[in-house]
Amino acid sequence: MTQLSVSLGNVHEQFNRLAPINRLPNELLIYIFTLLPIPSYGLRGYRVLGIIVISSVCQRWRQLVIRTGSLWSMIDFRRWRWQKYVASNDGIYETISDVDGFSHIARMCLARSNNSGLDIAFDALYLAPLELLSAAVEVVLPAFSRWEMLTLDGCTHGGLHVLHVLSRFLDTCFSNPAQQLRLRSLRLTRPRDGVRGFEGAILALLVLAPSLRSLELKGIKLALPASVAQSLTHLSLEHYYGHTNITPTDLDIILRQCTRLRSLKIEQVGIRAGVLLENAPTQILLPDLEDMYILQPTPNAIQMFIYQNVVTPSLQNFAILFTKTWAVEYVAQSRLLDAMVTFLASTPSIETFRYARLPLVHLSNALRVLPQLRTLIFGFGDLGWPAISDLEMTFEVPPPDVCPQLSEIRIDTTIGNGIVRFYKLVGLRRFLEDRSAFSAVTPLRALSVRCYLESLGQASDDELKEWFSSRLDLVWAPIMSQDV
Amino acid sequence: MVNLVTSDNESFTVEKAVASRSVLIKNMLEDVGESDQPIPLPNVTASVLKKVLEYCDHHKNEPMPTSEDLAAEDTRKRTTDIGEWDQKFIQVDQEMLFEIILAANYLDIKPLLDVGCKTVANMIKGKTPEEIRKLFNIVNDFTPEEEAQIKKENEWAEDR
Repeated sequence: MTQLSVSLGNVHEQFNRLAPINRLPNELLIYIFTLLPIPSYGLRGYRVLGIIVISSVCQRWRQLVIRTGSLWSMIDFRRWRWQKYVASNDGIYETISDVDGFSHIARMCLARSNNSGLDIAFDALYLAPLELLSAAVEVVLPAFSRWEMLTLDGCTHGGLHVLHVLSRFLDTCFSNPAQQLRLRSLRLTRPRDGVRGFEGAILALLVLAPSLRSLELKGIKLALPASVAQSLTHLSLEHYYGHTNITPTDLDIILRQCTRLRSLKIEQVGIRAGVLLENAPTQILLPDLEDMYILQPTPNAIQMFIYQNVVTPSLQNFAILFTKTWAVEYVAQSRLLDAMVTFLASTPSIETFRYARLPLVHLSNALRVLPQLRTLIFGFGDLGWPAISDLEMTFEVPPPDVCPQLSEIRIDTTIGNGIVRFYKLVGLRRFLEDRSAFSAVTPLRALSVRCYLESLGQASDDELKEWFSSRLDLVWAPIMSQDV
Repeated sequence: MVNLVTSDNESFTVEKAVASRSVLIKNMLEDVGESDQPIPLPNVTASVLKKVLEYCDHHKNEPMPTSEDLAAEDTRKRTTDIGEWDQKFIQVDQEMLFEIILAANYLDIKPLLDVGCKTVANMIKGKTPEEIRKLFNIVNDFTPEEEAQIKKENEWAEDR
C-alpha cells in the first residue's frame, strides 16, 4: 500500500513538472513567493496569505519554500488574540488564546529560517498576560543572535512587558558573550505608563549592537552613544503621548553625531517650552542624507532649525506634512514655509517632493524652486493623524507651469474624502491639459492613483481612467468606499 | 536598427532603443560595437519575442532601472500594483505568461519580469492550496503520510 502511494506520488510529481508554472526555475518561483503579502492579520494572516499555503500545494513548492530560509524570517507577535471567550456546546463559556498557535508557528519559522536574519515584532504588549508573553519570548530567545530587526511596542500600559522582553534579551546576550549580535534595525515605542529602567535597558542594548544601522524611537529621547550614532544610516524621532519634546539643542547634538545618515524622519516632535534656539553655531553637514521626512503638526523651532542649519548636498527625496493651522499661527507658518522654500532652493539634488496639507501658495513656491524635480507625490499611504480631517488630505493640484522635467505624479493616501478627491482628479486632468500648452515642459510619463475614491458612477469613472490611460502610464488602484 | 533571430529562425528588425530594453542585448551591442550581424536568441521563440518587443516598444522612452534602484528595493515595501497598459498587455494564456517571464529573465528585462511575476503573485493571493492547484493545473502529489504531516503542521493555523 505504501509502495503504491509512493508510486502514485511519483506519477503526480512527473505530471506536475508539465504544468506551465513549473517550467519556471527555482529562483523565479521563490521571487514570486516573496511578492505575496506579508501576514498582517494574526493567525488568520498566516493561514490565508502566508507561505504556509504555498508549502501545502505540491512537493516541489513545499521543498522550495522549506529550503528558503528568508521566507520564514518574520516572526510577528502582533495582533495576538491573547484571550477570547467562546461558548461551548453546553453553554458554558471557555477561554482560548492564540498563544499555542503562535508559539507553534514561531517554532516552525525558527526551524525553517535556517541561518537567515530574523525580523521579530512584539506589538500591543499590554494586552498580554505576562506569563503568556514570557512563554512567547522564550520561544524566540534561543535564536537571539539572529535577530536582525526588532519592533517593540508596549502601547498604553505595556511598560513592564516591554522591559521584560528587553531584559530577557539582554540577559541572554550577557550569558553568551561570544555570540555576535546581528541586530541592524530597532523600532521602539515608549510605553505610556513608563517604567523605571527602560532607557537604561535601551542604552545597554544599543552598546551591544555594533551592526545597528536603523533606529526608530517613538516617545523616547536618548543620549546616543557616539559609536552608535556614527554608524546609523536611518534615524526616526517620533512623538508619542506627549513624550519626545526635544529642543533644537538636543537635535543639534544628535545630528552632529549621526554623520552617516541617509534617511531622517521627524514626526510630531514638539519642543520643550522656553527653548527657541534656532541657529546652530555652525552648519550641520549631512553629506550622505538622501531622504528627509518632516511630518509636524504645528510650526515650531525644530523645523526652522533644520531648514536654517542643516546642509544636505545629496538629498533626493523630501517629504513634508502639515496639519491644521490656526489663524494665530499663520505668520509663524508662513515664515517657516518660506524658510523651507529657501532650504529647497539651496538643494538642487532633490528629485522627489512628497507633500500633504501644504497650502497651495507654499506648494507653488516650493515647486518653483525645484526645476529639476522628477516625481511629485501627494499623501503618505495609511498615515493620518486624528487632527487631520478628510478634506485636509485632499490632493491640491499644482500650477501647470512648474517643474518642467516632472515625469511622474503619484497620489498615495487612504485617508480622505472620496468624492472631493474625484473632482480633484478632474482638476489634475485640467492640469495636464494646461501643461501641454507650455512648450518648455516635458510631458508627464506616469500617474499612479492609490487613494480612497468615491465612485461617481461607472461611466464617469471609466471615462476619467481612460483619459489618463490613453496619455500616460497609469496605475489605477483606487480604494472604493466598500473597501474602507 | 538591430536584427534579432529567434530559436525558430525568425528575424525581427527593431530600433536599437527598443532592443536595448534588454540588458543582455544592450551589453552584446556594446561589446560588439556597430555591426550588421544578427543577434541569435536561442531561448526565445518568435511568438514570445513578438510580445516582448511590444512591451519594449511601449516602454522605450522610460529611464532604465539603475543597479542602485534595484539594490534599494525594500522587500517589505514591494507592491503588486501593475500599470493599466501592462495589465492589458499581460492578459494572455498561462502558457504565454510563463514564456514571457522566462524570456524576460533570459533577456534581463527587469520591469517586464516584475510585471509577469506580480501577475502570478496576484493570481495566487488569497487562494487555498486546492484553488491554487486547480488554477495552475497541478495535482496533489503528496503521499497520505506527507498529507498527514502537513495537516499536523498547520492545525494551529486553522481558524478556531
